[in-house]
Amino acid sequence: MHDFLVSLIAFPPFFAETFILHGLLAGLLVSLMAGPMGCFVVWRRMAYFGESLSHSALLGLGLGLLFGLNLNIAVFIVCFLFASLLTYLRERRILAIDTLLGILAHASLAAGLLLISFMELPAYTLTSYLFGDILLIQNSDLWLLGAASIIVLTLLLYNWSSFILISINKELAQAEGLPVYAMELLFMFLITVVVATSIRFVGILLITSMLIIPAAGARQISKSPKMMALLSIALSMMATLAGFSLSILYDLATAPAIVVCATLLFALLTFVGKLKLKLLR
Amino acid sequence: MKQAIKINKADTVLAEPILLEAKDISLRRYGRSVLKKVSLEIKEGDFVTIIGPNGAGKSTLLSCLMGLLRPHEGKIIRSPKLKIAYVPQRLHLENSMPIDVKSFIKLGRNMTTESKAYSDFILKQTEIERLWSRQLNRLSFGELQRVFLARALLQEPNLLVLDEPMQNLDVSGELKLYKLLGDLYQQRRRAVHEKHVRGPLSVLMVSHELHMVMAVTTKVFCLFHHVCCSGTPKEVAQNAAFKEVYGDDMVKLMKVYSHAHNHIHQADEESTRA
Repeated sequence: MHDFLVSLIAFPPFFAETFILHGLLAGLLVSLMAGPMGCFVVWRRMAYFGESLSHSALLGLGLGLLFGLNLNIAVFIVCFLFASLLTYLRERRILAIDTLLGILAHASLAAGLLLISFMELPAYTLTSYLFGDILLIQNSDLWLLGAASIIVLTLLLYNWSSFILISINKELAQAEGLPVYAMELLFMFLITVVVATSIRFVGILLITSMLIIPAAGARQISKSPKMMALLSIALSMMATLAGFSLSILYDLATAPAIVVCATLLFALLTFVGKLKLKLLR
Repeated sequence: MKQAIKINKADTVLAEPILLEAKDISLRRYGRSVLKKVSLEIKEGDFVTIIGPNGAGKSTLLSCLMGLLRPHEGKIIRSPKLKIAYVPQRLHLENSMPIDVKSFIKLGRNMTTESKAYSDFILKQTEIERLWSRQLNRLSFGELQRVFLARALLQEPNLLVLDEPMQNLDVSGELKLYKLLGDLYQQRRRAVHEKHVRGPLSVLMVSHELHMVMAVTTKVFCLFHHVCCSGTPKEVAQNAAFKEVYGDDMVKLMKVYSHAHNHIHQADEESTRA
């Protein structure tokens, strides 16, 4: 299976190196999950939430390094606890949600940075966690990303209309008998899976953009939630391919190149969307 | 102290025709009593309106009745055949999701309408046929409200719950919606005989718009954390407790409106007597 995928994508000469292929595959898998999840983040106005969640991942990394745990598991646990804590505090209405997110996100980012600075790691390690590094992607990461994609897409598809209804009107969903509280927890779980498995590739600081930018671009020309989710995947993959190629051809940082490509696609689609509106009038 | 109520099957067996009943329910929030020993019942075919000033606990009461909130004390009894559909207070939509009216109406698992005749009837009454393929976030507030209403009615409820449906509508919008509600309520009673639907429709509504309420409502509950008074609109308007909450002017206004549709001079007589 692996060899087949390798041979499938290997035809442009510069993709021939294994680490590059691994990186590209990882990017495409991230796009597959982040596309539809990003739509929900956009629909539910949770952009800042995603941002905060990924910041908390650094605390997970710090704790994982400190106690010698598996980093993936440490990040996942910390992110999930963070998401649950946020959901709980939001329901209790202790502070406005943006203030709360600001406090928690930056506190965990700072704590994570402190922890990591104790470890006396070489400087490039921190940078690679913050901005992602395709050189870090190993075979095991690909399997993890693959499994995560399957879990996320399956659960998302299975609960699709319930999630949509909750995004449109939570009260209505609750009144119509949906287990809104359980669904919220499931949603937190899914977004945690996406963030925790993707940061190896895109980095803590850029994962939110992989969620939001393709979804926002897809919004400009979509007529239904499903169409937007599918377009979002497509845009994300296009940006990944383009950014990846550019980064290899011109020796650029990969994740930032992908994000810039995604932003250009977004700008293009916004223009097309506006143009279409004008022509229709 | 916390005595959470459980709504299980043993509680729900009820003599007809009461659909939904609250018995002495109390609820506190942030140490303050929001509901104090509130009791009310909704019978089949009732058009019940809950009125009361801002912050009187009207929406909280609705949430308790629908089972979204648990009262700390008291009991909520549901008839086994109760089927609620809800039109929420906030219909605000983000521009972020592209979805058309048709997909929105069909979304979810409660869409059990079997009868084409009934769904045609609802779509015609709510006048949303021409909105069918429009995007939800391009609708005006009034249109959006009709869409939510249609969605609720297509679930074939026997109790329709509306939370301040007149909010954010201008006067003509209010009149239209009110006429629509009245028509639907009346026509579903008639439709029973034409075998469109299984039973009559009951309505439970929260509203500020006292004067709008009077024309169709069969029962009014005036709420200010507790039920100040209840009865037909006329009875409530004459009640001393109502006067205390709303003042004399409102009492006079109520009388004028409750009779405006037949004899205006009769109302004048009554207010001179009062």
